[in-house]
Amino acid sequence: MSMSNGKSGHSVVINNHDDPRFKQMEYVDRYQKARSAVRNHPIYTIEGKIEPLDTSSMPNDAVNYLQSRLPDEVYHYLSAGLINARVLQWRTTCHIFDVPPMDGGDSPEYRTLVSSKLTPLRTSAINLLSSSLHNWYRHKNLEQRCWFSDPTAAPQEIRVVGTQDNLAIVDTWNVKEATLRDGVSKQDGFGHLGAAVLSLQNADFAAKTVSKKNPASPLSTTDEILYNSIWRFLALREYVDAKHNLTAWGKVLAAAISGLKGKPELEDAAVVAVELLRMGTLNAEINMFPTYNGAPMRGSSTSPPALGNSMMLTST
Amino acid sequence: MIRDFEQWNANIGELSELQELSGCRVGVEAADYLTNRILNSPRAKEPLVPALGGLPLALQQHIEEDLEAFKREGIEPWFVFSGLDITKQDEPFRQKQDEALVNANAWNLYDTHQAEASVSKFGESGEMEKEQYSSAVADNSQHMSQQKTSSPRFKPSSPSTTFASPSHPTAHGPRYIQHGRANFGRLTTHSWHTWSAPASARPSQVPQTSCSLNATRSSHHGTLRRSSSAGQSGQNVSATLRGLPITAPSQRTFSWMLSYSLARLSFPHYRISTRRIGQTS
Repeated sequence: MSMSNGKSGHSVVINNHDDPRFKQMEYVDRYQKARSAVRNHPIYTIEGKIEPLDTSSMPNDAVNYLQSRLPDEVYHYLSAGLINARVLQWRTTCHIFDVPPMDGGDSPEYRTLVSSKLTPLRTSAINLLSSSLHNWYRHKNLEQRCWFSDPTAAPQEIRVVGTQDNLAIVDTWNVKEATLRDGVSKQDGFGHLGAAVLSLQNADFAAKTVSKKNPASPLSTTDEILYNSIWRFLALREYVDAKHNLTAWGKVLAAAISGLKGKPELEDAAVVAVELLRMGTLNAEINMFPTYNGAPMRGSSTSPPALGNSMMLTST
Repeated sequence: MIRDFEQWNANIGELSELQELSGCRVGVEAADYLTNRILNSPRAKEPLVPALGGLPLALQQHIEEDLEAFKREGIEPWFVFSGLDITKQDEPFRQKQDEALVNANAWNLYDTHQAEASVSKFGESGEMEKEQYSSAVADNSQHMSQQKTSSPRFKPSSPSTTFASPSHPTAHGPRYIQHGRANFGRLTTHSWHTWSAPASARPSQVPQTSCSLNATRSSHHGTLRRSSSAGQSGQNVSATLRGLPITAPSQRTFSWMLSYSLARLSFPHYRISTRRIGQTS
C-alpha cells in the first residue's frame, strides 16, 4: 500500500476503503481497533501497576479493542511465566481452535482425542481459571472448533460447570513446609513430581496433608507452592481421593514413577503415559495413523514387541 | 511476532557495533528469536524436526551459546514472550494445514528414495509451533540463572523492555546476552511493558501522565543516547538482537530501530530506549 495516498496510515486506509478487498475483511474497522489498541496499550508500570497508556484520550468503550480487564494477579502470573497464555486465551475469547498436527490430522483416534477425550481435562483447567475471574466467566461456556469440524455446523460447546466442586477439591491442600518435609524428603532420587506422588503412599503422611487454608499464614515458600500445586493437580485428575490417599490410578502412577529412580526428567512423561492409558489411547494398535507415512504401519502388532511398543510410543 | 516487521524495518535499520550495547539491558522478542535465530537459521536449523517431532536436538546448546555471548559482551537480555492475542485470527487452521501438506509431500519423496529432496522438503514445513518452544527457552534460561539469583524472573518494579527487530538474517558470532541473570518476562498484549524516552525528548503532545512516569524513570536510569537532537536518525533507540550480520569482525553489527521512524508513523509511545545497567537500582 502506497504511502503517497496520505500522510498517515489512517488516511491511506480511508482513501482505499472502497476497495472490495478492504471491505471484505472490514479493514478500516480493524485498522482503527489496532491503532487504538496501540495508543491505549495497557502497560506494566515500574510501580507494578497495570494501566493503559494515555488514559486521557481513552474512550469509554475501549473494551471493544482492549478486551475486558482481568485481575492484576492473572497478568502478573502471565508476565512471570507461571501460567500459559493458551488456556487464558481460550477463557477470555471463549473460543478454542484446535489446529491439525503435523501429519494433517486424518487419524480418527487423534480426532477423538482432541474433540472429546481431552474435554474433561480442559474443563477442569478452564473451571479452575474461571473461578478466579469475573462472575461472568463462571457462566459463559466456550465454543470449540477443530480443523475437521464442519464450518457450517454449530461449534461444540465446552460447558463451564462444577467450578465449586473443583474449588472444594483444591481447598484441602494447604500443606506447610514443616509438614511436607516429612514426606517428600524421604524420596531420594526423585524429582518434585515423583516425590509428591510417592510420599502419599504413606497413609500417615497423607492424613496429615488434609489442611484448610489459613489466611494468617498462606503458602509462601517455593516448595510449599510447588508441592501443593502438584498435589492439587493429582487430586483434580483423581489420582488422589478426598482423604488424600492414592486411588487405583494413583497407584498405577506411583508404580510407574517408582521405577524411575534417578531419572526425574522422565516423570512428566510417566504422567502423560498414564493419562493416555486412562483414555485408552496408549495401546498396541499400529494403525492409529493410517494415512501418515512416518507412522509405524510397516511393522505388525505381534512382532517384534519391543520395537512395536517403542514405535507406538513415538507416534503417540 | 510482528507480521511483516522485517520488511518494514529493512530500510530503516541501522547497523553498528554490538559492543556499543555493552552494559545495557536489551529486549528480545522471543518468538522472533526462535523463528529466525534458531528454527530457521542456517546455523541451527534442523530440517527433520517436523518428521521426528519433539524439540530440535541442539536447541539448548544454541540458546546457551547465545546467552554466553551476551554475557561476554556485558549485555543483559530480557526475552519477551507472546501473550494474549488482541484480535481474532482470520483462519486459525490454515497455516497448520499448509504445513501438514508439505510434510506429506516430504514423506512421499522419502518413499520414492529421494532422500535429499525429502529432507529439503521437510525443512520447508514452515514455522514450527513457537509456543511449544517458548517454554523450552524459558526453562533453559531459568536453569542457567538458578545459581545466580533467587529473585523472581520477572520483576515488575524493574524496567523491562519490548522487542527486537529482525532485519539481517545471516548471523554468526555473538548475539544474545545474559548479564548476571537471564530475565525471561512473559509480556502480554495486555500488560506490555514499554520504555519511553526521557520527558525532555518526547513530543509535546505526550500526555502529562506519561511524562511524569518517564521523569521518574529518567531519574533512576541513565539513557543511552545516540544523538542529542530529537527527530534525527539514531536519536535514541532500542535495540535489537537477531540478525547481527557478521562477515568480518569490523562488520560486526546489530540493527537499530530508530525512534524517529516510529514517530513518523505516529506511534510516539513505542519509543524504546536502552538503559545503562549499573544505574538501575
